[in-house]
Amino acid sequence: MRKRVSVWLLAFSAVLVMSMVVSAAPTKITFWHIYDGGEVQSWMKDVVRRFNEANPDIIVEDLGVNFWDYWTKIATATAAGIAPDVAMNDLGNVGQRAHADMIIPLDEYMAQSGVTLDEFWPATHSVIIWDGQVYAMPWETDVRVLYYNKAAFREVGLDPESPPQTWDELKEYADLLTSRDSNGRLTRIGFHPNLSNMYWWIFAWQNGATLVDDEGKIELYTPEAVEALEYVKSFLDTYGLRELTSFTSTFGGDAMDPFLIGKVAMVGNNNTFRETILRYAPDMEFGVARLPHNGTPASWSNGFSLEISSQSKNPEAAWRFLSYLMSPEIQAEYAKVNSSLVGSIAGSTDEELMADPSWRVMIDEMGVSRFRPFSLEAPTWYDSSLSPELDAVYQGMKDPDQALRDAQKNYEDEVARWHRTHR
Amino acid sequence: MAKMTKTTKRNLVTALLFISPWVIGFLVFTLGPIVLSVYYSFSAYNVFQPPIWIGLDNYTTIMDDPLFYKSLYNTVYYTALSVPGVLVLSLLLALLLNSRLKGMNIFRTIYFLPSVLSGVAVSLLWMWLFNPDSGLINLLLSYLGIEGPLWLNSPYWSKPALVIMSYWGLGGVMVINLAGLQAIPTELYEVATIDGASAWRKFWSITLPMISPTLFFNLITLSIGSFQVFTQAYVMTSGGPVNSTLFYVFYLYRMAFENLRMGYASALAWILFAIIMVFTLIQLRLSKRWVYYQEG
Repeated sequence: MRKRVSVWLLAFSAVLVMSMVVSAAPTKITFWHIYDGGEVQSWMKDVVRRFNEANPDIIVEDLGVNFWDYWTKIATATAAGIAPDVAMNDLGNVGQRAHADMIIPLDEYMAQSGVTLDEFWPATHSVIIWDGQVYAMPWETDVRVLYYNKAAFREVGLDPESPPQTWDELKEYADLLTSRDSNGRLTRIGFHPNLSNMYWWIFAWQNGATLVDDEGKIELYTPEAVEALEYVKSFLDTYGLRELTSFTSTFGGDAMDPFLIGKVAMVGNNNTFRETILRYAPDMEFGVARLPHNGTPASWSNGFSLEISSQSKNPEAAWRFLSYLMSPEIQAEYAKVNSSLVGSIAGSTDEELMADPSWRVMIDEMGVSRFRPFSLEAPTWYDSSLSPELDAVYQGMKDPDQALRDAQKNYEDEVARWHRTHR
Repeated sequence: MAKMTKTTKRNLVTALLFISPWVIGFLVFTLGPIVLSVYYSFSAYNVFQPPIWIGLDNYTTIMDDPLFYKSLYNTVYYTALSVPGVLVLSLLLALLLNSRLKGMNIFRTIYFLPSVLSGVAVSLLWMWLFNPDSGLINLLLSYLGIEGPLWLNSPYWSKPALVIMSYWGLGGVMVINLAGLQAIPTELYEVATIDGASAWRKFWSITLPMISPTLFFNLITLSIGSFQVFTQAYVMTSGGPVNSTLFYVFYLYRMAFENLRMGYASALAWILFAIIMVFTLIQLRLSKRWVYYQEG
């Protein structure tokens, strides 16, 4: 009898000890990102190591997945109920995941650690807030600026230190910079409003359109928006559709980028394009300027978010790691390692970064930049409802007024169809 | 069932065990999803949350979706031009390659080669060929004094371009035709020769009827494949310009994987299944008029 009791006691104490060990064991959380090689991955590994050292009660295990496979992997893992605690995702459609309860609101955690929205670029606010709550942190964003070829400016008698600032100047300079051979075929174009990273909505914003109505619904058909499309079209009309299509069909990427090989004198492209120029055309003389506008300075941003999965068993620990990644110090480090325009204002305006004049141009432009409005019912409205109508204008099949009127109708129909299939 | 002996029983179990990897794979990864997709087609389903039953809403909404009609039109257009062309060209090629000349195997290999390449690689290759400025096709046309169209960049020429491209991949069909041609008994031709039939007559009265079951098989499989055209739109045109290459399955893909509307996409898939089914049944009915099956 006594023997049996002692066996029980022994077993009981063993369980007790083990449970103590377990509770003292650090909380393990997983973090998935898109850095699967190179300098950025080693940096990220180092950040995780530093966090783990400074926080002995948490162990972060990170996994870098190739950008092209990442989205399938994260979607599959989430559907299977094994999503990582913290994950990178697309800043442009946070609302989709918030609405589906895949990620958790962060307001309470933010309040606890004293993180406020105004630490991050205003442009990102519109996309990280869903239904009045913050669901994501803006890990990294980007911005479009004007790159121009100084040698070409000089060649046609333009001052290489004064890039165009208004739409009128942009058009005027573009015409001057456009050249043709003796057969009338284009050899260089001044500016292409749909090339690289320029899209109609940027011009619409620059002309005073907001693309959303007073209730926040997407509104594509306004006089300002139509005027912007007419402006975009005016470039294509100058070059000629057939001639321009032939000309642009020879363009490539990276080293064969049309700006790098001198076929386009001015392009709107994002902040990371500067690295591309420096890598592939180190001798090129180029300038970085803010995008010309027609009364309202505006640019376009997108980027990557950091989110906490609703499947996370340790959201507290996840938040501690997430807020560490969003701290100005880490954000500034990342901005330097990857030339990234990070979401934190303090991080991206770090003294060392601001010493570079082109970085300052990008920071100025970031201050007026916007995200495309998000629509839960039609998350890719710009592809499904808008893009075919813009195509039709560029192909000369529709006039801008009719096209945007139709785009608006397409969008509203798309939303209506969504509501018909969601109760 | 008659009583099985011990050995038969054991053999049966062994056989089932041997094929079980395939059977389990089929049940879990093919039949399961097919059955589930019927259920999903009657629900709102975003993959992450449980599907919500909405009855026929997906189907009735699709009937009002202009992109459904647009993508169906594009797909039918493509099928109607691609399938007959491939059938005729592959038969002509098979006739040529059926002659007993030296080195014929090399030619057969050459013409079959494009069929073994991956769809994405072929798509990239044809983007080069269709390049309006530096592409081979417009270059050849320019020698004839013709200014070639903008091909993939033109809403009028994008579909014909993809049809032309589809002719290039006729190797598989050609091989089947070749097999069909070689199965025709040579006596038939010998008899016809003795009777003084011309080559044309022999083709019309012997070759064509004898190979008609093969042609019919190709017609059905090609049409089904053609209704599901996807890679070209995905890789080469993204459905543009002006939705001119928005094919049915590409639209379905967008709904499923870009908008995460699995229910709507499942409904689209079952509608396409019904369309292909009806088309095939009509062909089966029509085939009685032109397909010749040898009796006995």
